[in-house]
Amino acid sequence: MSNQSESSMAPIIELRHVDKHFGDLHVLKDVSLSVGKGEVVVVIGPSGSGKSTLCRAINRLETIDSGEILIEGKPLPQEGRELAAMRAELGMVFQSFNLFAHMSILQNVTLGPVEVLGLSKAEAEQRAMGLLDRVGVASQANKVPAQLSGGQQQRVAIARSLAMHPKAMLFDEPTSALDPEMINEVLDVMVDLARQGMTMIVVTHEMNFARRVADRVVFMADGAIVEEGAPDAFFDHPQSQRARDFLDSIKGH
Amino acid sequence: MSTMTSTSRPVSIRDALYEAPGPKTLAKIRVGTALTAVLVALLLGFVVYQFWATGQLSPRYWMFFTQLSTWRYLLAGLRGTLTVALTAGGIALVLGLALMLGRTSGIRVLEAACRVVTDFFRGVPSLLLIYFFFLVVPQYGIRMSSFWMLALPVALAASGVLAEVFRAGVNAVPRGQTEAALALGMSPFRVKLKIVLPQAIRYVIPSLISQLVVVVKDTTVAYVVSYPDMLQNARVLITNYDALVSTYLVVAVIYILLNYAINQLSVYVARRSGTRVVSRYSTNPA
Amino acid sequence: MGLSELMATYGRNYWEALLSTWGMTAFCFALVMALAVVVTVMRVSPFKPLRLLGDGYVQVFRNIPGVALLIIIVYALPSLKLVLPYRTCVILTVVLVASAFGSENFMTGINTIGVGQIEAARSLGLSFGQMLRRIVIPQALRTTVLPMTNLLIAVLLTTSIGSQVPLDPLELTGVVSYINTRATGGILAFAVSAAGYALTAVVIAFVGNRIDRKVRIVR
Repeated sequence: MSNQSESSMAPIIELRHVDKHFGDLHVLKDVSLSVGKGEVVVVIGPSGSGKSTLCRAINRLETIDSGEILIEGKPLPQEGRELAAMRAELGMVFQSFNLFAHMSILQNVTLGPVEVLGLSKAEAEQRAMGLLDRVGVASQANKVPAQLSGGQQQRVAIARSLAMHPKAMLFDEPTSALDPEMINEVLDVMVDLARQGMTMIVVTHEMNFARRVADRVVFMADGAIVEEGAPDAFFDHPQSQRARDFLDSIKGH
Repeated sequence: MSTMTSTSRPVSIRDALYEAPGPKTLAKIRVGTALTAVLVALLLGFVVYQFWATGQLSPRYWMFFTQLSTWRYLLAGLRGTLTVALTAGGIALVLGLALMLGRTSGIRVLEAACRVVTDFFRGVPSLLLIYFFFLVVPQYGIRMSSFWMLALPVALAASGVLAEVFRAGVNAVPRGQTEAALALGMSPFRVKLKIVLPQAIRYVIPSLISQLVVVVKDTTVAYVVSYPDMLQNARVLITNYDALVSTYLVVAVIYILLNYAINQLSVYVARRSGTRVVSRYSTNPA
Repeated sequence: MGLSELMATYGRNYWEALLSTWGMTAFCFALVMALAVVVTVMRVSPFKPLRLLGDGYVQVFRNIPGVALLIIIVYALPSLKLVLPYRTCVILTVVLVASAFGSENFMTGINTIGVGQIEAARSLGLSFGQMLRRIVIPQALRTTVLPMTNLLIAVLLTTSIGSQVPLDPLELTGVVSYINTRATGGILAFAVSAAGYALTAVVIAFVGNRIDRKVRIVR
């Protein structure tokens, strides 16, 4: 691959031959992945397949042993202001929401823009209210996280990330900690986001979401990308035995 | 968490505060570690130097610790400390439990009284209680041995705290269990005795153990009533050998190790039984 | 001796003792908080020697009996060419012991925050300093109100070790033994001091609970 950093064709996120170990465990095996602008990539696979690690490695919540991670063609910085600036451009949504417990919903969403982007409080609040409205929790703006349901909290977490006007969004199992009746309200927000052209990497167990929204499905097992392709092709005609076994196993549920 | 990432996440927040360092950060941490290592070494070196410069490292201050008799005497003191501490702890357990039962009895007057008594013993220093038994009680013609003049006030001081620990334990028992038992037709008293208390006590055992540390510490004023505890026996050694610094240091280390061991035991029991030390009530440094 | 007679003769001593206890408590607690912050910063620093020193400090001073430490400071330090005034010895003892517990409270407060919020702050692009200032410290402070209230009461009670050395003015425990060596003060002489402590403790606990209710973080 040639130097694409100046080209508008450069993928937003690119992983090249990424390897990572946890002690003796080889959790990422020579993983290469490229996500273009506006693309929605859904990563699925059994527990322990390394998909969460992959997602977290992209904004360096996990370090990697070897290989390269490029954001818009530039290598992911390893520390300092450059790393912080890069993270500000990548939204991250966690399985356990991770809202700041001591702040109101509104403060949760304005913190990043004020502290990192240097927006005035008024500007940040205006932006925040717009986003909270968009995810349907504007009426809760002055409550604290613990007063909200899991689904509401996760939508706030999405708004918090969006407030940074990110170039891409990373979702690390965003619905796995939710009660079943709340999963859809979060997925709806994500579908909306995808339709509006947001670049997204989504680690999830929600196969319907993958089929509906994904441009590409990436199937991981034992730390390696086993198979990737368009959702219909993948779900209807999986190529590998691992993927067939996996899809069979979740159909049982 | 089912995913593999959980194995990589930092166990303690102390480590989570810092992310895996990049090359520059790593270099800074290395330099900082080296610098602080030198600083800490200098600090410790200065302490040792001060001991040396003032002659406190001279063998005559330390040689008598090689004699069996010295240790026999210190251990006799330690036995005194433990006897009085365990006695006081035992009394405090009973009193604390009684105070808690009174406070949650549902009888208004009794509840108020037990609350006042609990707050009083929690809010008064054990030393003041010791002076009460040492100076005031004899004025009313009551003769007590030095053992009880120490054990009783220490027990009273601890009972207030233990009452609160027990209450925390009772509050931790799910309310549904009481309701279920009442629905079965058990009397409220029997419910408390058979259902709530056994669980509450199991829940607070680690906290009770860690409160023993406070009791041990409180006994160190034994010299006020001339009870031969470890500190009192150390004073005798000091007069015999004219070795003040070394003796006090050794005794201090024994106290620290003893209390450390008690704390570790409490943590161990808490971990084994899956309960937690009620730390809110164990922040009593006295 | 009745209460009026006791107060007529020794009222001034009690009043001075109460002020002395209050003064020492307030002064000690300010130092305790400052030292606890320093020790906690050492314990969470990325430098292993500082962590070990901080952890060691806490283990030593939370486990040493206050009276034993006071005796060491008063009687042993002069042999090491360090002579301190009695009141300083008392304050130093209280501060050393209580700051170990204060640091434990801070560590517990930091521990309740959770790794997830730290990662969330990081992924928003907050710097280490911003994360400490906006996420870690505010939460640690707000969750430690109640433990620190208990610590303040403990400091109040621990100043009673001042009765073990000559102080002028006496503090609230020393004054009881002072009065009892001159007159048979009976139970009243004791009760006045006890009330001074217990009421102060009740007021501290009340205020602490009010503050806690206001700033408590619902989780």
